[in-house]
Amino acid sequence: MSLAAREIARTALKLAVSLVAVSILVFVLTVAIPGDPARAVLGKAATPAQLSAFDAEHGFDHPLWLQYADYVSNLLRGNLGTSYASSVSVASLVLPRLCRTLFLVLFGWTIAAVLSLSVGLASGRRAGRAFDSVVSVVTLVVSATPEFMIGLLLAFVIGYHLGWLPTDSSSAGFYDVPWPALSSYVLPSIAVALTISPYVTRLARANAREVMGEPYIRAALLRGVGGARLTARHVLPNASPPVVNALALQFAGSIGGVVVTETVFGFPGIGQLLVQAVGERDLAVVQAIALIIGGAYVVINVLADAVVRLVTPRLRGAQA
Amino acid sequence: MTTEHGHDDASSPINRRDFLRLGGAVGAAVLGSGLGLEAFGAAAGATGPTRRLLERPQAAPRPAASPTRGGTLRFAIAGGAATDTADPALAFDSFTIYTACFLYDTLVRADVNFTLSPGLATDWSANADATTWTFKLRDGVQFHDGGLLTSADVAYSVKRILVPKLASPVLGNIQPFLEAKNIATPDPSTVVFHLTVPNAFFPQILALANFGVVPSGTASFAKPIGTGPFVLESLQPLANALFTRNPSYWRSGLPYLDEVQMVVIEDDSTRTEALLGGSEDFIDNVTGSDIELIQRSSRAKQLYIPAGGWEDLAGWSNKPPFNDPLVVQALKHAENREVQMNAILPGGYDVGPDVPVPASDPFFPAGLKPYPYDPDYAKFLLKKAGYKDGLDLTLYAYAGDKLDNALAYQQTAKPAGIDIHVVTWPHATYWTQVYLAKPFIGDSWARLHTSVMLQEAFVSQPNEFHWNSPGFNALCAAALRTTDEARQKTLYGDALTILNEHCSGLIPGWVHQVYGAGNGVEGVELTNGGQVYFDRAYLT
Repeated sequence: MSLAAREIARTALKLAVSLVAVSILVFVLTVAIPGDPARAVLGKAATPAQLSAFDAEHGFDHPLWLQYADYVSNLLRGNLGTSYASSVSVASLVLPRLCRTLFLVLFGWTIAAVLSLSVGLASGRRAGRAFDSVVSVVTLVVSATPEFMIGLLLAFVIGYHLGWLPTDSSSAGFYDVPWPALSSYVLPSIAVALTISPYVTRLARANAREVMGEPYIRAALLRGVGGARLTARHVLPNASPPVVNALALQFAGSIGGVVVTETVFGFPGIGQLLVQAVGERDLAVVQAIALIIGGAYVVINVLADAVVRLVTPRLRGAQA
Repeated sequence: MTTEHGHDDASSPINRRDFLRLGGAVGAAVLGSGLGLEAFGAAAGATGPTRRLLERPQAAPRPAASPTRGGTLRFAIAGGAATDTADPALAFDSFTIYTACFLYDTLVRADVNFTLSPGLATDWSANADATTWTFKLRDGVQFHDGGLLTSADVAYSVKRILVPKLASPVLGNIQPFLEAKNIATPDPSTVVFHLTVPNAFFPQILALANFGVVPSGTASFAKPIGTGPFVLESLQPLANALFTRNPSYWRSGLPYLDEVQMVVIEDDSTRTEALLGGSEDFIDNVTGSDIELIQRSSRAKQLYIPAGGWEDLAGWSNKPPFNDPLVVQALKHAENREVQMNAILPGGYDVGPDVPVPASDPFFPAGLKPYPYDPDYAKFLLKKAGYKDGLDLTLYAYAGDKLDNALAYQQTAKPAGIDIHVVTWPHATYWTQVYLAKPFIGDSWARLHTSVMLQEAFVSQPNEFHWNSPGFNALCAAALRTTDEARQKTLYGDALTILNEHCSGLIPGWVHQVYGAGNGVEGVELTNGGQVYFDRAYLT
């Protein structure tokens, strides 16, 4: 279909341009960071000969545009470079952690999506009543609690006091996939979910409330459609597009945003690695992670945009 | 002499020389496991001036259980680095030092009092002037791949450290005394070191985990081979390492444990909570209020070394105002050691005179007292030195124990008319921009053997005190040349007395290096320099 094909082409173009922009931005920022990676790695006793050898080895003596070109050509071949500090490939440091963080975000996000959509919609349907007020207060309290507090409280109450789950997730680091150490993913996932949910719940509630005022809802009520059927077939499809968009943004944002949760739980993910790499001035790793996080954000956003656009026009004409 | 500081410059939070983070300390010794498996020595009953929390009545000691075989010890540590490797020569932070202790053995092992016990060497001796050291190797020691240990392996392991290109953090400890070509292997069970400069304490250097013996010709440590109690299963820098039992370990019957799972948990409270909650069995770097939490817990106990490391404020003794002996005396009388140490690690310290050797050490000159806190006398001395309106100083430190010390001293020195402006510097650039660059800084050191300590911190140039005293150097060199213990004691006693009286290093005291263990963990051996041995560890 011509419509779909046009959409795909437009999306692809947007993606390409955005990714290039992100890569340039990341490259420029890491190059602009004060401090000399050669000095940081070789130490203050480094001789000028050692320093210039390091620079030559990493191509720092080339003009910027050439460095950028090398960087991109490496990227396209799948080479993320070599960590300056340790001479292991950046990919070997980053990829297992990226995998774990993605699973963590996926679990947390799924919980958040189910929780916030259902609670938000239910709350919107019962706008102004007791249930709605309670939800309102709870959402407010949770959103006001800093991320690390949520993590610490979960670890303390469920992990330490009740002893149901481990208080730290460091054992997840022995595996690249969650299943052998699933108990390590539970508490951080809940923490992630609680960080994402409040905003999305409020959004879902607001949209549901608005939809409830629409004439086609009243028509459905008059026809005798009620309860779950009303929610599922009439409220949900109409209230959800902006919520889905918000959820997609939250997913994208969480990949980089779980740093605090990862630190509180000692979860060996990409956020923690970023903090450690910044501390060690390991620019190759910082660059790779910034690019991955920025790239993921761009991709998810553009795709979510496209999906919503494709879905909504059809719904607008849907019969109640 | 910066090579021995290794990754201090690369801003890793923990390294051998300086383990202190946020109030913690370095080095350790087992205290109170009550099993008599290792020599606790005088340190265990050391009569420091203050005991604080440790005087609180402890639970009645559990009856010694006989070792049980098997089990996995889960060990959570405070930090790693992207450079974490299984190469013992490059061990510099806790991750790599523990790894070196588990995978490899050294010729000799030093306990918390620096008493040497046989490791891969069964016997060692020096000639009369301490220039030739002969080590006899144990027979039948197997590497993890089945190969037998010979003198060639020992020679190779030491020689590779002497290559500057490797940038081993212990190069500076051994280079003044030994050249690679002077390591002889007359037969497969004997190694002879012909030193260029006499050193009566040479084996102490070889007790550092960096001198773990690797097979001759080892170039890659992707699949490391050692003689140690554990074999490496996997290692992920900055994250974790997995060790399994070496069934052919030469200490027969050991280790008791089947497996050690080492993970990095950087956040202090998460790590402590993991121990108290039971998801970890052993943790390192316990600081501040966490010490009390562990003490009060019914599930965990603390293990610690009393003299883990020392704190200091270092001024350049060759520049004004520190080059004036009256000023130095004034600064020393402005130290309220109790207050300063309590600010650094409440309940976990001992005060002492301005020397880098604790009172429990055999070389500590008997009766050496710290200067008393006397701000009025300090003020008087300053006036005599020409500072009628008091003294203004700028002191640099980074967040943690060094800053705590600096801020406390700022307060104690005020009544003496000493106005100190404390500058908090970011940790990441401290070692490049402040250390050896600013004339008055806060620092801390792990405890090392007296001979090594004085060499590294006060004889080597440049040092943070800008201390370069021919008389002092002569005393240290003479102590290294003689094998007569009484004479060594006299010489080092004199050297330390000089430091206490004249050096611009203000050393208020020593901090404990504290570890936390679950109640069922026994047999852990802790020693200085952050070295931890699990050969005899077991879980009940």
